[in-house]
Amino acid sequence: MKIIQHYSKIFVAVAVVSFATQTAWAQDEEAKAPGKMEATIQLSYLKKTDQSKEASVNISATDNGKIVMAHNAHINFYLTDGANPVLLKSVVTNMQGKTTVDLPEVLPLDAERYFGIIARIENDSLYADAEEELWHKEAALSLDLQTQDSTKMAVAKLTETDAAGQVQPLVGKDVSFYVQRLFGIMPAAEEFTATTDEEGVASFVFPDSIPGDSEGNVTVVARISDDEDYGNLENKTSGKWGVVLAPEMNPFPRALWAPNAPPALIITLCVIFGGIWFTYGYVFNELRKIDQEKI
Amino acid sequence: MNQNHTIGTIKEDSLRPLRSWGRGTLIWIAILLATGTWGFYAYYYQLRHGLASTAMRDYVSWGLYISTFVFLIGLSHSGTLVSGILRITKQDWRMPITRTAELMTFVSLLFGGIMPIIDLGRPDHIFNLVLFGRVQSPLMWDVICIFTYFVGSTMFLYLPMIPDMALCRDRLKETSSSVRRWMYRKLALGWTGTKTQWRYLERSMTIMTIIIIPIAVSVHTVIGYIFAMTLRGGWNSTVFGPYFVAGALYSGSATVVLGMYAFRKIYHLEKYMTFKHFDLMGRIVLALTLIYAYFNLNEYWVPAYKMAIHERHLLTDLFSGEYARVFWILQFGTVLLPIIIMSFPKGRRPNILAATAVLVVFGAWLKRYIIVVPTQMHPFVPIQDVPADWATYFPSWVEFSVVTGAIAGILLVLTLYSKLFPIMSVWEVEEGAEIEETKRLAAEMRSNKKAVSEPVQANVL
Repeated sequence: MKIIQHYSKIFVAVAVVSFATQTAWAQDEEAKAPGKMEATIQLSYLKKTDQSKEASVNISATDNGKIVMAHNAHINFYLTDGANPVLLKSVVTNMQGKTTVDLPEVLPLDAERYFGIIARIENDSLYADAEEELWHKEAALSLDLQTQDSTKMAVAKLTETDAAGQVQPLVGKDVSFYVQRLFGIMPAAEEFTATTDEEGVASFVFPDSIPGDSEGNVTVVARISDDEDYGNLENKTSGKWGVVLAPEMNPFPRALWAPNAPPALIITLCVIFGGIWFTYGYVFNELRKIDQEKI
Repeated sequence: MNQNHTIGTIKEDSLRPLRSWGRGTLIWIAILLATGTWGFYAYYYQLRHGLASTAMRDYVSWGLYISTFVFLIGLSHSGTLVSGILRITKQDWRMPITRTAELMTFVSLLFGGIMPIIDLGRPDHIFNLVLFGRVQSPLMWDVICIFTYFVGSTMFLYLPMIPDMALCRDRLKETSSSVRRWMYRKLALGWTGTKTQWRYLERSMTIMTIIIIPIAVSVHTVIGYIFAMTLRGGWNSTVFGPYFVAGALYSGSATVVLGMYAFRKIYHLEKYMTFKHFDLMGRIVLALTLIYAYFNLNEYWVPAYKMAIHERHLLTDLFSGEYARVFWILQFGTVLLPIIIMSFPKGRRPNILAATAVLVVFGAWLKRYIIVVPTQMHPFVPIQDVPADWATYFPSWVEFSVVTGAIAGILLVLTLYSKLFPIMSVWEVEEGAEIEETKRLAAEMRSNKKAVSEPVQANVL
């Protein structure tokens, strides 16, 4: 009996220790359980040719030490004038971790005419809460294509409207000039940046050798990029400044991927495979003769 | 060996595996069926969830399926080589192994041919090739060549089977079911072995032997063209056609060795598939491995010397980067090591040769993977702005399951074939035994003559 009691005590002790240990480990596991991914938000603002405005985010996250694009992240955009932020829109990032929202025409401004945009990840199931904000002022970028003494000049003018409603030039800002190509914009020359003068004007000598379309049309793009005060501004204008690119009448002169196969190829294939299948037919006929020969 | 005894037992030895299905065979078939069913389920899953269930994405759109396709089409050269080339060069020793080789061709084409359809994601789109196919596309050439080769190989397998089908029809009456008897009767085409029937059969076989060799060469050349007709680094090569043919012959001949080894062991055909057969096949595999090694050297040495910008990243990845381990294991483990082993007579004995053939076949499959995948990971425009997992490729469980199911299918067809049809061409083996016996008698007569003439010469002297 004593032995049974003795072993019962040992059993209970082992069970208690084991339960306690397991509970402690389980708590550890819970603490170590894979949590949400840390996300980093890159927020930017762009004012486009048609004066519409947009805010974009590019979100990356850290997944087991690897940097990945944070797709399907729920992100809230807020506008603020320094006081309480107002929710503008909730959106979800695409496969590349990017998303864009259109901003209203009139933005809330603070005393110094700055507006604030806030992008937040809040209560997302995949990503930890994160926030990024930026503050910019509104500006206007115009672009004019002028020909002066047979020199092609792209003239960009950068201005802002002050509190009194007066248009003021912005001095000493870098404006970059590009040409629109099929998959994006390309710098128009090796040196493609000009600085605005006291009138807010930046002039750029457009090269003569830029290929245009079949009529010589080319789209010139002027751009302020990542300015501390004004963010990104862009203006595009088209003109017949490009070299006329004659359309290729026969884009595949002798390529195998041409729309129509060369007759020589068709004939060769027909002869080779026609010959092989004729031979097969002959052998089939011999088999038929074997079958007919049965006694 | 006594000739009558040999001739008498050849038929019986060939038909013995057909008379009963052992318990082991049934278990083996059940395992293969289960694996095949799993493969089917994986393919059903892929059809239901789309190609997103595989690891293939924008950059790697040809993964495990196309690697396996190229590999299996390569194996199909076994029949052409052993049966076609040895038949045309009148190598009498080929006779016990030709059926194995032809069967390997048939079965690897059967399963290799479906791999691109599986890779297509939407199998119904295959008809678009017929409806909208462009004759100038290498993919179209490939479809035409493989289909032509498949029909030719089936005929090439079937023709020498006709007299054996008649043998089965006549000798397996008691032990066969009515379905099997019907099948033998139909496949035998009323064969009675008349002179005229032999004439038709031999003429057909001669024609098919001649025609199947260029067709087989064209098939693998065209598969090489699928890659070589692009401008991609690693594929843009003028030697890809012959390189693929050499690779196919190298892996195909090793597959024949494996088939010989398995059938010899399972059906106790040691009398027919002798050490001599393994030694000669070993020499063939050795020669083809040397040719393949030479092509390998050319394929990598020439671009590596130039290191052109679009090839550089790929070659660096192969030689010292992400794929370096696999690449060097391939070169040393599955090319150089087999060469060394097979250079020695002991290395061409059945057990060692079969083990070496496993190395060669596995290496050939891995090599196809190394040809197909890394190039796609090195596009002309660098990979950017895509999810991180698109920049790598490792097959998903769906791809592994489908390919495993296909391999199980191959083994199942081989097993069923060997239980339904003689695995040796009985009449050819008998013919071979007769030729050998004639040679033996001629040699005996020569030695007797010599023995008789020697005392006469001694008397003259």
